[in-house]
Amino acid sequence: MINWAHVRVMIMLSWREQLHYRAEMLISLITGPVYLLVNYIVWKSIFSANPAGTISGYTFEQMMSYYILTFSVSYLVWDNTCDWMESEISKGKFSNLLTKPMHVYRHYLYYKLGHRGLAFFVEFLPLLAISGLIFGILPLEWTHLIPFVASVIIASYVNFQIQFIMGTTTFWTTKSSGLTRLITWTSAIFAGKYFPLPLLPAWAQWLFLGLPFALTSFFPVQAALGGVTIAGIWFSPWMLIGYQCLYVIFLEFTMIRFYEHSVSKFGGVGV
Amino acid sequence: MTSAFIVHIEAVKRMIASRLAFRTDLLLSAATMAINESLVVIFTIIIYTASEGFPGWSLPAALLLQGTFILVHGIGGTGFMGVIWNTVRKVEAGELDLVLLQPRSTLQMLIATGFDTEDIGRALAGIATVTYATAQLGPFGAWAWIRYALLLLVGLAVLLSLGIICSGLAIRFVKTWRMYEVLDALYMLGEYPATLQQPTVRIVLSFAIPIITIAYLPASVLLQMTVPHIGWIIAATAVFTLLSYGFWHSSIKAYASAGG
Repeated sequence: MINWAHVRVMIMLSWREQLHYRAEMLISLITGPVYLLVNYIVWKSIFSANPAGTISGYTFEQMMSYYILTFSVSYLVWDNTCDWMESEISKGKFSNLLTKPMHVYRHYLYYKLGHRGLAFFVEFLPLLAISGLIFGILPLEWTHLIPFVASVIIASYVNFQIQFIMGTTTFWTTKSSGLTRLITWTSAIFAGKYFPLPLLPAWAQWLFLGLPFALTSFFPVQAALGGVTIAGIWFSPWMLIGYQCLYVIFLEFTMIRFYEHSVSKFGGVGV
Repeated sequence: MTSAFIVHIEAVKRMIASRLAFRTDLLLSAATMAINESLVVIFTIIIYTASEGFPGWSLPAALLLQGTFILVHGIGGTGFMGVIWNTVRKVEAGELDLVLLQPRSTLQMLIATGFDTEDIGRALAGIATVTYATAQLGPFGAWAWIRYALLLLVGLAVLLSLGIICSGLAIRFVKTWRMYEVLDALYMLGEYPATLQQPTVRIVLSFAIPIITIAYLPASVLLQMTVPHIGWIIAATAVFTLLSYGFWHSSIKAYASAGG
């Protein structure tokens, strides 16, 4: 059962903390367009030397739409639960969370709901508008708006599940930042944050289809672009969402089992 | 001068010793750094597999440029770029005052105690990429390698200047972790051939924030490509370095601690 009073309190708490450092959030309005500018320059020159006009099925406009959406979506799905868990566990402060009148995972989830809700207004919408103005590209068609919104919400939750599972590894290790960084950075490739995944060979496409990382970025972006062919299989926007939902069920089960097993390892002071 | 050198070495030795307490984590972090830096190389290989690639640049030439960038980034990251997180963390925790009390140069102490052992992974990834690319491109003469090495030093100076500017910003504005994202965005501009960029962007990256000196300049010189105004670009780098020092000193003078 969801206790809405808890949700409201955590969101308010998250907003208060984030607004304290609002200038930091606005940095996205500088970095986002610069990242996109670099990709614009690189892809413009690559397409200029490519007489076919398409690369792995993407035209230049579609490629830029892909990058604009990837960067915009990254602000909505961003998650730092793993780092926070590591900090709380290694400093012995995790026991404070265990005494709260809500499950630990709900505590982090509601907090995320707050700061990503804020990011929607402070980072997502302005970046989409700025990118549209600079590059003259509207990456999202109205007909794909509903599947895109649904897919982004699921993507954000999947990323939370992955981060939470990674965070529980701290119960076993004294310092897990190396491991988590390794997973986070390698997962960014499989999420399609650096390049569209259809550019990869077929065997690699099967691999990323089996891993959950593409669900956090590539899937919502392609839902906005009207679907994609992965490993020779056509996925319409609603099929992408269906696949995400199946994975959410699997990850939910894994997350709960992982947490229950790992929290028994926790030996904080006085616990 | 000698004592400053000894203090620096001692501080670095302590940083290495403290990091070696978590050896597995260190190895994983170094591997992660190497993988993360290699992303741009993977991206380039994929681009060349799926298309004609960057106009005017063969795949080994593009890899030489990117390998050079990774190498400089790795050396700088290990040796002095830790000054950024070290300053941000100390300012945030109110510990900068302790560094100011030490009878040594504050900037030097921030650099020495910011030594980043795990960034060696980056440097190794850079060496591997440059070695592979140069093996493909054929042998180069001793003079070409000397010029390449000298220009690597110029690139390191630019990186150091960026680190010092960010350290100065951290002193002026508390909690500036996201500066790293701005830096990453700047780095991206240096990871690709400057010939791809539009003339205005190229001028900015040559003279205002001379990012192109980090990799484009040494790689082009090794490949015997013509780089216009190379002397002026190096002069701009010297000015950039001096300005960064000036900015840092004005920032530390403006520092008013927690009660300011």
